[in-house]
Amino acid sequence: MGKISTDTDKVFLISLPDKSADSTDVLDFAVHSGFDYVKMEENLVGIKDYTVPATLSAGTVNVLTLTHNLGYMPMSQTFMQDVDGVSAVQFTNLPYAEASGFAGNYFIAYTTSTQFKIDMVIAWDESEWRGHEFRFKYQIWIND
Amino acid sequence: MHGVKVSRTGFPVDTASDKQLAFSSEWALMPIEAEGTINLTNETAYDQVLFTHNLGYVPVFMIWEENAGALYPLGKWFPFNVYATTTTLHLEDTPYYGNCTLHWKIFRRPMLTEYTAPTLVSTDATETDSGDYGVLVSLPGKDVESTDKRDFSIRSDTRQLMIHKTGYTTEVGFGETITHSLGYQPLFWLYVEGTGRNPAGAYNIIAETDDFYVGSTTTQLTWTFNGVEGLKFAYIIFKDPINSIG
Repeated sequence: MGKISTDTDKVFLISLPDKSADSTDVLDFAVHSGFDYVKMEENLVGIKDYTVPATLSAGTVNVLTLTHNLGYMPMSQTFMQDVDGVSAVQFTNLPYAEASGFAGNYFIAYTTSTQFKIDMVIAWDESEWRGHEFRFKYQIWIND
Repeated sequence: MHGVKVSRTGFPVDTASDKQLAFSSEWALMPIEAEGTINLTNETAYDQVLFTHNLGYVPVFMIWEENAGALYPLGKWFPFNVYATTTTLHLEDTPYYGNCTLHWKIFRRPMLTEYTAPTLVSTDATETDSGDYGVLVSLPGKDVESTDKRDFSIRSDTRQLMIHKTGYTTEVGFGETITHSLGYQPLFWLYVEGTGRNPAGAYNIIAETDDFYVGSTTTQLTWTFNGVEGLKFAYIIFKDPINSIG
């Protein structure tokens, strides 16, 4: 692995405004067929709303399981919105810990070769997350 | 006025909003320059170059941790300390949750560049189109008839990450507010020159922690760091909502 791009490919080029389609600078192009891009299937992008139960016990709680069946572990990214917590405009990527350190509570997101999952890992049952509503935005990429 | 725009499956191209497009000649996507993996041994300290890109600028990058048959964005529990400089991508960290494999991608996109794409159509179109046409561009050496979508540079039946705005800070405060005016709360990536542990000029990914908060509103991206004052940040705002399907 390493460089996977081909600057000299000229099969399909779309230049940006005020840039020449004959440019040799890849940054001058909106689309360049010598490069792979992040790609997402429409059905593998979504939203999940989740309310943390009022009573918690230590362990892993599955928030979302989505089957993709791609046959490989695709890249993904997930953002969490604290809808009912500190601020409705506050966001973070997953993984996210309620408190620093391994002993904390976490939301994690991951892919396997068949599924995408968001889990809540509870170490403290006195979590301040109890009763809070969270929104997750996930993107599962075709790229691996 | 000329150019190319291709709408996503289901949206009429003449009325689709910017974020309902698959791509447009009006703004850039995220071309992948290089990618790779490295196997890491638990509780072993690493301080090594992952890849020499020699782009001459600090490129945007992203990382994932493969651990026990699962692939976690950024890391299983915490983002790995991976940083980019003008010449290399570098790992300086110690895995603590088992042997794992770090995956990385470098994009042909300078992190420290001020750029704002236009907003052309902000009102969403109703999804009505059959979607039975579009554009397929295969990668060099790959067949355009391939059924594996990884063989394609770009496809109009998939979404791509479309860049709306990039930039960086040079001031010495505890945070920053960036105006984007997209009219929805956009998805973003943030990087910091983490001089507390990394060399000057090296940028790593930063996500929310106990003392770092990020707000994304319909008009602004705001972050506050209650830790060290004076860190430099870089950001990318995408034409993609962070809390709706869009």
